[in-house]
Amino acid sequence: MTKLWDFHGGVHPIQNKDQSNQLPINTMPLPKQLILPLSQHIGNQAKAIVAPGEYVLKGQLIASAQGFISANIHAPSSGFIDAIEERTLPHQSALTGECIVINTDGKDQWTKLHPVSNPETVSKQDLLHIIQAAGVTGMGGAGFPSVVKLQSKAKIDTLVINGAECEPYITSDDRLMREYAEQIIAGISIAQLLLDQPRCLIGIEDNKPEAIIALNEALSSHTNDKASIEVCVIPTKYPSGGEKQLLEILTGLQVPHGGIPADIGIVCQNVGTVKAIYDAVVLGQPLITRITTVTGKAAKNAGNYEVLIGTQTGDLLDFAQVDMSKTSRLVMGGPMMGFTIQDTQTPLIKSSNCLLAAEDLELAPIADHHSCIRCGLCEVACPAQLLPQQLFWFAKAEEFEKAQDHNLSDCIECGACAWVCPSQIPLVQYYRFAKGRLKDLASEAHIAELSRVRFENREQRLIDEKLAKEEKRKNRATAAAAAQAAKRAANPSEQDPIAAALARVNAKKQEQEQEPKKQVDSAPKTHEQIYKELKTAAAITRTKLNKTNKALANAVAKDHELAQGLQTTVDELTIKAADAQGKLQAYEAKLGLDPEKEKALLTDVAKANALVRKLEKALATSLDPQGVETQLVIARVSQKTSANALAKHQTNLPSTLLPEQEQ
Amino acid sequence: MGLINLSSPHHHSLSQTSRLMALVLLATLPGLAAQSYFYGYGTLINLVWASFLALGFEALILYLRGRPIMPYLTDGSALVTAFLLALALPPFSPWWLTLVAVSFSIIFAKHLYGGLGSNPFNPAMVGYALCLISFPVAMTQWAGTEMTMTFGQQWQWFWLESVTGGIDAYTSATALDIMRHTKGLTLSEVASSNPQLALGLTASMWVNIAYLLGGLVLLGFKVFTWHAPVAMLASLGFCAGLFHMGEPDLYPSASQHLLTGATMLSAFFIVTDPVSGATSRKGKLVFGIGVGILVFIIRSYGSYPDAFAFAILLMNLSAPLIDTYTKPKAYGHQSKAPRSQGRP
Amino acid sequence: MQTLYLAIIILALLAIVFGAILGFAAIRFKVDGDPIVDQIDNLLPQTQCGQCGHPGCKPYAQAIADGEAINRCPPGGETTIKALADLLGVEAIALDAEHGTEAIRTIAYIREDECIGCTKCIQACPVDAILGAAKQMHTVIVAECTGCDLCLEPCPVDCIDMLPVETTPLSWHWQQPKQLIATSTAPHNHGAPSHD
Repeated sequence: MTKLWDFHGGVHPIQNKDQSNQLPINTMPLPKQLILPLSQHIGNQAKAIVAPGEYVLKGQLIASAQGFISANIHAPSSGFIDAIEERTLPHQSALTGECIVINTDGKDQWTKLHPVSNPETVSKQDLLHIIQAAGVTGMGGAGFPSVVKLQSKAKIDTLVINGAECEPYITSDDRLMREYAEQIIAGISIAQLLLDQPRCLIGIEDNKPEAIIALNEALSSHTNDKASIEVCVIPTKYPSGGEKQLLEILTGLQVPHGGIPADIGIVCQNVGTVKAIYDAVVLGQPLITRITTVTGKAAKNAGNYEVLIGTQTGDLLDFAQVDMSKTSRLVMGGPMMGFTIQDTQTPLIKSSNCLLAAEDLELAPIADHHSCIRCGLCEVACPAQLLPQQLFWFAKAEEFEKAQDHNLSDCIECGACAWVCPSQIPLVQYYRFAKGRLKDLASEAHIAELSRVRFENREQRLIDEKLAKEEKRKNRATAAAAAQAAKRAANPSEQDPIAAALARVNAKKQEQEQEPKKQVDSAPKTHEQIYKELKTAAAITRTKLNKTNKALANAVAKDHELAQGLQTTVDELTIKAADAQGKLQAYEAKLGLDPEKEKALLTDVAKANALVRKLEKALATSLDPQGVETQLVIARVSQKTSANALAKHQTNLPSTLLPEQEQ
Repeated sequence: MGLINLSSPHHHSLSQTSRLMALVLLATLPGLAAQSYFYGYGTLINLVWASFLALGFEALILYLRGRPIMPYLTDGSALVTAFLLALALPPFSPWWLTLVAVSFSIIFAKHLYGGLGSNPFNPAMVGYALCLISFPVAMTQWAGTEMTMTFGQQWQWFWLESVTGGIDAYTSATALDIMRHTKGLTLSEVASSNPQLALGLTASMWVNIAYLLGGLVLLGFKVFTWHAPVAMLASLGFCAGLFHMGEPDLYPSASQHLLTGATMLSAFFIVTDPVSGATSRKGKLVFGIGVGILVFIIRSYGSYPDAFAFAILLMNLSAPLIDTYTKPKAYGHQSKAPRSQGRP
Repeated sequence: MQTLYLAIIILALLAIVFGAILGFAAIRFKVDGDPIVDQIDNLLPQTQCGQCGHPGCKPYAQAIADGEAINRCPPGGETTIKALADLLGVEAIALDAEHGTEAIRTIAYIREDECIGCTKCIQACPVDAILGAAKQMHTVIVAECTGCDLCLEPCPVDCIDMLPVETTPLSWHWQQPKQLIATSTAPHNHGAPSHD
């Protein structure tokens, strides 16, 4: 018998477990529609790999994991994908998220499975791959992808299996352990294999004697000489099933602040999770069903149900004959940590262990809360050894930093403090509020820091660019000066500056005279070059004209003496500009160019491209794929036509843009 | 029925502030009975009068502050203050003394600081201390235990402060007072020379034992943790024992200290006041130890009959400081020895 | 008379000794704080929106250090004003409405179909959060947009929208519970009934 430790605090709420643990697990009939949120787990949202209208088989992969911490999602039954759209998520916020909706066809036809009858014959890598591919996540509540824990880099010496199920009302793990004890033990063996055979401790609260007997019986027929498995019966106390608390009970060790159990050589898995590992490996079945408790006095047929992931809560509630008129608070999860849902279309996901439809008198009264009298009952109850009453003051006064100093982040939101509070203060909500605000503040600070750095980088870049320009200008100036000096040095006789100037003038004149010749001498200009030159000339004169016009207007406005002079310049420039434009147009006519037409063609092409892109996007999410497809075909045709027209227009050019001489 | 959205937990222990307060009130009954048995009807009359006043002032000030009256009036906190004051004030207090004490407690010490849960000082002790400073004579009139007045006489005294037949014969100083003023004599010498004192000591002892019983009941119901009262009694007993060992003639023994005056009433009903005390368990230990030491010092060297009001108010003053230095280590913050690989 | 001199000498000596100790301590244990401008800059939201009348948060921080009012930052709002007041030991004042009002956080989105690729918004963005090239469609890097609005004005085709940041299940959190009953009812009317 392993020595047991105790954890600080804890409470003893009325268990109410016999409402639902009397009957064997009942399989729920196939629902008509399944809704599968793409994010049922901690980590990145999975990515849908099926399209609406597609037919999927039971167990077929429909959304694939994205990144290391993420999980695959499979079709829980065969049928057609109805839509991939926003639906209400099983989340306290009641917000929507992307879901795959499947209309089941009633055939419940399996895809091909690849069971591994003897896991010991398979390599570790393959086992991990099987578990990863099956989309196994923690079934206890948080939904952490299991495979991540099973490939821990740290040396693991203890595997803790969480069968404590400390929340009142919930009995899904209890029934699971009673009815699937052998599968659980086999699943544990697989996990031990993956973790290099650590010892295994199964923690079960002493209020589940049948489950304890069942597991012990299964153990007696189980042989594994490499690693031990032991059932540890722990006293019933909430929240002994909290991961950190269970580890402390079984090993006396505390998970360090900010760390994970692997830091102290422990991996913790829920009993449901090891059963899912067994299913994935030995049966080859991905995680598509789970055991969910329906309980509370409003449920006529309270009990445990094997349901497909994605079943709508309303379907299950109907099957369990829940009288919705008797309850005003539908809780997903247990009464201590579960969250309320308002929409009965909300689907059950991999971590939905319980639906509590309790009559109003069963649950905490919805009462006004009183002032905190600092009675300290919460401190006695807190399993995280915090000072809940202090945290409450800080959260209420919005002194979030102080709350952080009092280790708000170590709060596991178990609700023990609020449960004992004689003033009925919703303490957990205060903590959640403070945690949320702290998270907001941290992200705001992060964004601010990022922006500051980017702003400063930009400022620096602008300054650098300016300096670089300056530098360049200076370099050009010095280079010119150096050239001048070199010229002078090459011609030292030139002493008289006037003579030199005259000589330069003469030289320039000569050059100018020679220039036409030079042009002829150099390679013949192509039409393209000429066209460009003309275009530039026209543009320059236009700009000059505009500038002078502006200056003129300014001068006139200020009644400046320069106005007269500017007026003449403007007149001259107008003529010049008209001349340049005329030349350009004449040349265009000669070449057969039509800039207007080209512009129009370019626009056509761009428009057609945009339309095609838009339709392609629409096709992925549309309800009417056929209609969109037709439109897309038409759009593609017009895209091609316009592209051809443009190409034709442009290919006309080179023939006319040959060197002038050869025309 | 529409479904509502609420934060977990959805379950509750159904404990209520009013229930806690009711338990505290009930737990004072043994002490009240003992006090009435030894000192007459004075305490009872006082208790009724104080309760009436406390509820009245509470309602009035809640109205003036614009707060809902019934939820606060029924939480029992005003009654607890009234009970504590009535039990702490001498049985011979006249009506106006109680009036002053209760009104000051409820209006100034409680509501001007923000009402229930926000007062830094224990309201009852503030009222008591005020009276002790302002009306020292009235506050030291304890009835002689050998003579009990009839209810009628007590009633008359309560309103008129005089009784046909003369009151002086009936009042006497408390045992603690006598102890202090007869330094140099051993207690047994004093007791033998003063039969009244011997009787006073016995009465005081029984009253204290009654309060101890009530306190243990509260502890059993987990209304508070053991830390503060045990720390207080232990430190007081330790100091008294130590000095008594050194100079038995000058200092009464530990048991004398623990079983006279308001020791047990304070230890279980006032030191345990959560609002004005320290927060964490370690803090409560420090708080209790502080009260115990201060009580010993004030009783031994001060000039007031009993020391609790001042000791507790002084420690109330230091509670925030204690809280700062006694923050418990949260889960996962303990420095544990590095993990050994070969654990069983 | 002698005692008087003695007293003066002793006092003088004491003054010198303690002065030396204090002086030494001031140099030896000097705490190098951030320059005040950086401290102020750290409290500003770094939106770089220029609503305060300065071209960015750092310049405004400099201006505050030089004595400008602390209530000219609408994106920071009351929180920032309070933090600045705490840092500078001045009174927190209400936001100067002349520079804008506190609004919910938004992010710029470019309607990409309509973008003509003029790069004007890219040049306007103070944090380089817009991606694109001439004649190419532009897009906003959502994670880096501060919601400063500065790109709206230069856009020649008005294809930029400022949309509020959406709440997702990940970013959602509980609000503070409704107040205690103590303040849940409106205060009573204390006004005495009029008798005229």
